[in-house]
Amino acid sequence: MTDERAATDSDDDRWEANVEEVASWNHEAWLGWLFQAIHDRPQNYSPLILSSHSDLPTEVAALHRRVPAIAGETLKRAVALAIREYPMSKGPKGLAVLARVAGRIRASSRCVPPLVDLVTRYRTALHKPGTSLFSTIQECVSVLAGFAPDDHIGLLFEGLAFDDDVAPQLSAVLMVGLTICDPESFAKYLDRYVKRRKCVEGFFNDAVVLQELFRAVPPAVVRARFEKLTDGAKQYLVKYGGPLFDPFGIHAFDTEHIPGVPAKFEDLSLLFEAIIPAGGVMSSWYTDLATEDSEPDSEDPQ
Amino acid sequence: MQNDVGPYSQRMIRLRSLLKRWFRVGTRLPVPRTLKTWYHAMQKPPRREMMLSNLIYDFVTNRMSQHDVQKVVRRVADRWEKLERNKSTGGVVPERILIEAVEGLVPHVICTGPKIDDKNARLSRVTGAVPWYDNTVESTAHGLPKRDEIPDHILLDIEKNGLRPDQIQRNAQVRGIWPEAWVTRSDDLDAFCAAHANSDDLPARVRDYLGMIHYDDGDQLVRLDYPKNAVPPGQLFAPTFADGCGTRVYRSLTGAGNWGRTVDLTTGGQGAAEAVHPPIPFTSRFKVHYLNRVEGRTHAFGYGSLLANCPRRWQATDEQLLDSLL
Repeated sequence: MTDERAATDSDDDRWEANVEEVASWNHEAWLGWLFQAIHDRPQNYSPLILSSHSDLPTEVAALHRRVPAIAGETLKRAVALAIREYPMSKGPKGLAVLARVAGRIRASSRCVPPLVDLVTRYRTALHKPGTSLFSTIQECVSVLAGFAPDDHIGLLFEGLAFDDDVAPQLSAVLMVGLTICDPESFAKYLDRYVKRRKCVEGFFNDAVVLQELFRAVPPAVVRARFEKLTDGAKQYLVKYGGPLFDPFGIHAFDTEHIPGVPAKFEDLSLLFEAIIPAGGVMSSWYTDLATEDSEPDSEDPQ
Repeated sequence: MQNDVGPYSQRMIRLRSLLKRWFRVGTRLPVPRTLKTWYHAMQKPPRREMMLSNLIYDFVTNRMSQHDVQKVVRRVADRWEKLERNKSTGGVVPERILIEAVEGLVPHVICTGPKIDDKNARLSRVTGAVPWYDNTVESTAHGLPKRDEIPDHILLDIEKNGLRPDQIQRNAQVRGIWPEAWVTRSDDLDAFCAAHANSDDLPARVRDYLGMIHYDDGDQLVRLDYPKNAVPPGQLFAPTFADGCGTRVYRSLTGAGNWGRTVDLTTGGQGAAEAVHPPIPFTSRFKVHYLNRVEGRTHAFGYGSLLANCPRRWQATDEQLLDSLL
């Protein structure tokens, strides 16, 4: 690299040096470096040059984007091995970092089996929120949800979601993960989530959780299956589903400047809570709407 | 036999033993150490010279203690001499040696610069949304499967509604990889944002203003506004070269009230006021603002302009100053 280039480029020279450094690394060299960076000599990333402003998963992911495909695969293999061989005697925190690295570099095929094994092995830790082991295993569950759909993940999550001993804080991510694995059965998972969330009232940002659900299963499909949901789940959807479940389109207006009209859609929930159990009028309306919406979908060759 | 030796010969024998002893002592005298070849390797390109300039500026102005600078320089010398003995300096990135020396001394040599006693200063920190979220928020509260980015609606929701204490991870801290956090004065940032309110690329401009070269096209940024007294008194420091060693763009400089100054990537000149503090707990009292995604790479940034605005550039005579610490 010429001096001229170095004087005008951005952060590229750092990455060039790092890519050159790791070009010859095998998975054992990567493994050694990961363990060094995580617990043996924290803050010492030698021989790589990382930014002290960021975090390890972000920096490793940025490096992964820049290395050739073969080197990227070597890194994925090393991360999977690191998860498998992680010495728990060093404390579980480093394991959460490794899981996050796996998520950021999308090492699904290599890292799903060791992560599933890990969550299965430490499943009881999910019964006790507040411990560092709980936080780590919870992190692994979130990373696994990011790898869905996958049969192993589906099976694991199903067991966790319907286990009353597992902390309810996990119910949203389990519901989303399960729905990604099996969108057809979303009603079952949504019902379970609605039931479990009551144990930790106020913990979830429900509007956001629903948006995550709708990423996995289109709102039109949810509307089409509305009837199959329990009353609790129906009310939940109407309350937090925003404009997608706003039959009068009230949400479309700027309500903030109209006197007497609630500013927030959530405030209208009482109205719907009164209507839905009243006689199914709304339910048929929803079904019609869903049919209309879903028609174009059915023509879609996908 | 010895009795046969005359007084002259005895004196000669004594002299010879004295000379022998002197010679042995002489050979044991330490050879003055020098890092000449390392200094030379560090003077090109300008980015490396910038690191040397920061080091010498902090040393001669006592922004860093002589003891800390000495520890760093000795570590560099140990490593460099070892590489020279093995004739393997060729493939080594010389600044890596300096970074490694500082990394080995973290946390002892960071957050040790001049104290900033500015009780009225409101503090803000701009950082990457993904590392911040991953290390701070209980992602299960949003039902969020871990991906490489945080959906905008989640960050906007946090901005609007804040975070409840139970949505914050246990022991969540405001910090980077190193146990320190870089902050700026909220007033500086507010004024800058107000001046560029109509700009389409405000996040990129903020990135440039704060000298955060490590954020690239597509990275999401958040701004954390600190609650009052979040940083304990006496825990806010002007950054030194040791703090800046883990970043690519840093210039040691003492501004008004001991504040440091960021490097404005668009000009290489001075940007916002900056400081560092040791990790502090993240609480729901912090206000989070989603600045959105950075669009576009850094402007035509040049380390030459960074050097040109340096308060004290590296000089040839500085070699002796640092060598004296070895």
